[in-house]
Amino acid sequence: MDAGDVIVGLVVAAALSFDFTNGFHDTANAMATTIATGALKPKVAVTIAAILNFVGAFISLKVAATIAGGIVDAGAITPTVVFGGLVGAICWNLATWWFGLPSSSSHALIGGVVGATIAAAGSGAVKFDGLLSSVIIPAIASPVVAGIVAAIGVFLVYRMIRRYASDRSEREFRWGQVGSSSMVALAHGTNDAQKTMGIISLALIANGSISGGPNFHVPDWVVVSCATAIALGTYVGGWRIIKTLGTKVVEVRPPQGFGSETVAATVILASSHVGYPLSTTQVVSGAVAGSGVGRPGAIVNWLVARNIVVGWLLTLPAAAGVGALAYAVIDVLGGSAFGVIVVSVAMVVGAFLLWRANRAQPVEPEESISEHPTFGPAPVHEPIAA
Amino acid sequence: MIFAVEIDWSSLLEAAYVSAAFGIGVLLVAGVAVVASLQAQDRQNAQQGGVVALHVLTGVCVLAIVAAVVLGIWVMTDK
Repeated sequence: MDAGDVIVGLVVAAALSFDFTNGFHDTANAMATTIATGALKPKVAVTIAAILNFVGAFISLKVAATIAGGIVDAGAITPTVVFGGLVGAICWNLATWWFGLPSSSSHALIGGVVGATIAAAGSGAVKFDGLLSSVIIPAIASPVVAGIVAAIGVFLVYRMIRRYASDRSEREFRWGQVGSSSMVALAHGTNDAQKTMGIISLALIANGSISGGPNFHVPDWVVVSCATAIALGTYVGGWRIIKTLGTKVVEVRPPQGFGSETVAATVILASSHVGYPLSTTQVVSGAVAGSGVGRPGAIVNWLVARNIVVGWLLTLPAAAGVGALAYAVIDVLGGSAFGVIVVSVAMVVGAFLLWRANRAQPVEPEESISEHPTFGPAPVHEPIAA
Repeated sequence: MIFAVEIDWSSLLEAAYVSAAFGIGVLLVAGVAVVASLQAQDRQNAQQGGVVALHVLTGVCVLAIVAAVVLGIWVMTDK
């Protein structure tokens, strides 16, 4: 085993760690509204999401082998650059999870790779036109479109059911809510697990472990391990983000939950069909806020929405900064396996400290249920002892 | 310089209106299903006619939504 194999091994470990964080960071996309209304119990919801993410990873294997394709110069991509990019993405995912901010894992990964590329080969290796047309413009347009469509759709649904008592009519949307959330979970598994498969494949090709020619195919162990990592992450559930999206942006009622998840699924699938890869997180967040605008009497907490948007604006530069820093540290340490090991250890220590801090101030699954759930009893929060 | 970037506006617009058509369409069909189901319950309680027709309408709407789900899964596998 040479130094190249060690680096690739650590890239694979980092990629699977990123996939895990992607899973728990994005559980909220599919299940926050379903948990908030009580349509599904929290643990049941995350179990369904985990299974569908796992299945979704196998649905299509036309891997985006170039997660940053068209955004950075392919010649500048080395296993060390990929590693730096993954460090940037993992750090941003963990930071936004800690603050309960739903932000895009894909944008974090792209930002991390762009930052590491700039540190390795200069800004000339970044294709800023590709970054603008493939990432930034869709990132601005997609939550706006999802929000407008969800607002109109939910408004029309409430017009249709206004003759009936809300507690009676809203209950009819329970299974629709479960179905639409499941579609988002499936779409998430299909899109996001493949990005990690692409990253690992890229590192294996760069190391010469597999062929990148016309006979290229993703090794089975890569597919299974990526599907497993994202499913496990989803099952763990990022309760801080689920709580924000399900209860803090707007009080979600079943027609809203059904509307926002249905619109999110259609926006993601329509965009995917015409070749625009979108952030599931941004689409769902826009749709949830839009559904609040569409429901008569609902009040959207624009302060929380603003904080989420600020998180989106910071994603690319922050992940890029950490990605560049990780690459620079490895470079200073000789650009060898030793540098990659040092950064890996630092990241593991940081993650452990965050995990310990989370245990001191945990967000319990029951806190993600609305104060007035449509289905099931209202959650009882234990008073905190002085 | 940045404004010289070529952006595929037609694809973006297509994604927007397809999303709007399908998103709002599915929600309206679901709304019809719920209203038909509630009407059927009310008519049954009041022992009025038309209950079967309303149940059929609910079923047709549910089938339409299932068809939309199948289409969605096809889009996922076909990309």
